[in-house]
Amino acid sequence: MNLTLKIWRQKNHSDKGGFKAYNVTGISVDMSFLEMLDILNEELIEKGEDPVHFDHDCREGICGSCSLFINGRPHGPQQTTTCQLHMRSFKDGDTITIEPWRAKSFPVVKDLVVDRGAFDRIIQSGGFVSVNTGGVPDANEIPIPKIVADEAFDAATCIGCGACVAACKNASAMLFVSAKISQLALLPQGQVERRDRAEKMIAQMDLEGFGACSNTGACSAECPKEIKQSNIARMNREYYAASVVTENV
Amino acid sequence: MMDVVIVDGKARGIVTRNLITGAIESHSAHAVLLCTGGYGNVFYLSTNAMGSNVTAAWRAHKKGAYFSNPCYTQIHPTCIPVSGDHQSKLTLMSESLRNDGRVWVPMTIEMAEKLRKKQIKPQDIKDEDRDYYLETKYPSFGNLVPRDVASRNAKHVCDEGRGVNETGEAVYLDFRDAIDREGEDLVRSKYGNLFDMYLQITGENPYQTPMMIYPAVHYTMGGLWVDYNLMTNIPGLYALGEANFSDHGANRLGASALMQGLADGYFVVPYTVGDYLANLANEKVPVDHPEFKKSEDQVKERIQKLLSINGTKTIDYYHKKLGKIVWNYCGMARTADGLLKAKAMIKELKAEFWSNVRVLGTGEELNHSLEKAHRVADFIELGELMMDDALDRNESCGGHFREEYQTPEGEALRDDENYAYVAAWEYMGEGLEEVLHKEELVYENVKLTQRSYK
Repeated sequence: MNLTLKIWRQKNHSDKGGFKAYNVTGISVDMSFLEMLDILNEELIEKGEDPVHFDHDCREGICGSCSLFINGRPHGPQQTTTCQLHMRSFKDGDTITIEPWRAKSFPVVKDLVVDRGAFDRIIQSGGFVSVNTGGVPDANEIPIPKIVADEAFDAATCIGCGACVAACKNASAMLFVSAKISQLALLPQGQVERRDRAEKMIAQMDLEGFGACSNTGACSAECPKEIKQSNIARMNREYYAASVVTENV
Repeated sequence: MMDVVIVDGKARGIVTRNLITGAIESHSAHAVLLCTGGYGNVFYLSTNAMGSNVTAAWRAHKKGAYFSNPCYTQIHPTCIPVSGDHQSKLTLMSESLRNDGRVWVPMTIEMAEKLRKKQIKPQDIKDEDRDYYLETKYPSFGNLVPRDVASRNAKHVCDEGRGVNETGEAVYLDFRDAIDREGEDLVRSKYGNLFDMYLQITGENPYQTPMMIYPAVHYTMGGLWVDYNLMTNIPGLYALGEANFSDHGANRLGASALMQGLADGYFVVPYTVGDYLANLANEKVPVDHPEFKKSEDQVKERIQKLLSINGTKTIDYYHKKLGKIVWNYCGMARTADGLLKAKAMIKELKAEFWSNVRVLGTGEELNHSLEKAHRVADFIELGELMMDDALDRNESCGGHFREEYQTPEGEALRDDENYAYVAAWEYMGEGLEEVLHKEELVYENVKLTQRSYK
């Protein structure tokens, strides 16, 4: 099929940027969206034009790198990552608009690449368990109900892509932060530093300039890993609990 | 990382390029640990993430760290087949599927052709017309034979003309019997996410039609030579995980790459690097030491060179060409003639790359093309070494299969008397042949035998 692509081009952070239209032809339905962009880029390079820069890595939906806002939806029309979107989701003659994640806290670096360092800094502020583990104990020595383990596992599948932020009209990061807080708060090992963790990560989230949650639900509707909104509710409970129970001596 | 810096024979830091500003920076350290992954992307198509590359290990190699057994590459039997020339990477279907799936191709070439032309459906082929070749050939291991055996067999049946997709390079992994036996719900609870992924990528539903799979490059057993403390032959330079050569010999078993990463990083190096540091005088090496400056200059020169060639071919063009050469001549089956031919082809490709590659943009911005160009340049040089290594090893061993050395049944034939060693290659300089050092493998408690999965 042949397609028209309207792609956001931006030379660097301080450049104003703008849309540019490109035509691609002979695209097979079995191609992935990114493979289609690869073809465009090869053509651009051959013409001496700067290729469209976009983040990607595993191309299998597990690394969280790819981050394209396609036809107004993060990762496009399917509820998967951009790299798992295939051209059979589009029709011959379609016009496809491609933009970077739009959020103040994700400044554009170049073209479709944004800086998601804010997420790294949130994790650095408390998204871990800081104990010396010495030798490895038998994992089965620490009992945990399967239903709790499953819930923690589901929260842990968040790949930190940022689609939730891009989908949210407030550019809130609550789904991401709540997934990371939940994953540890639910597990026995995460009880250590539990209150502190919630406070610190939420404080960093606010510092980064993400918006507040107004219960729209666009985040979990678009999340490629189907992270549930109930994580946000859990995070709010963690935040409240941290305000009445402190680990500080 | 663009380079390792060696001061007085010890690794004392690295030189990096800031990916956003392009700034070249030196970082000094008491020890350097390379946990930089494997070189599967030398084949262009692999199951690795597209950013995975050999550069950190390769630059260390050019500074004197031996590179071992580069021809020991693992081809994983169950990956989604290539769908066309546009293919950018191969998707792994977890090996756990082989617990319940049955591998088969049709008994006859005629039937395979009908399948390829979509004149019949796989579900309509009766069991007596199906060749469950792993179960027949290896009665005791069946579908659970090791990866190199499963991959070579898949290649065999496809080379015979019995491949089941348009390109003729696919075999079936069928869950019909598992679903009949256990019910779709149980199969879904075990493999649901994998089946969903398969459906997403191919548009086909493995609950209703057999999965198609084909071998793909997945892991590299070769890597930087290390001792039992995970230190390379350069004091202070360590290599962990897939970046080193150490744990898997010629053939890695499933789930053990993860095991190695954890073992190396959690159980071994915290103790061994501590021992090294304890014996190191605590002097800091300043980043303006001449060796750092020398590395920085070399890095800047290389960047300038790549940006100035302004040829006519893209970086991906060379990467794909290299990948095809390495896959065809140093893939699942290798011959001396093929390897010699491939070495010459790669030499030619290298010359062409350095005179005709086109890298647009500048060094002082985010520049994916520049990043890729560096990686491909290093892959090209690694490709040459892989051919040398495969040529030197006149036996078949694990992932290295030389057609001239096989048993009458087509299995790998080792020559333990002459080749029970680790090949550790030393870089001698641009244009010069590398020198082979042999680390003899002496087995005291284990007797070397021929693998048999019958």
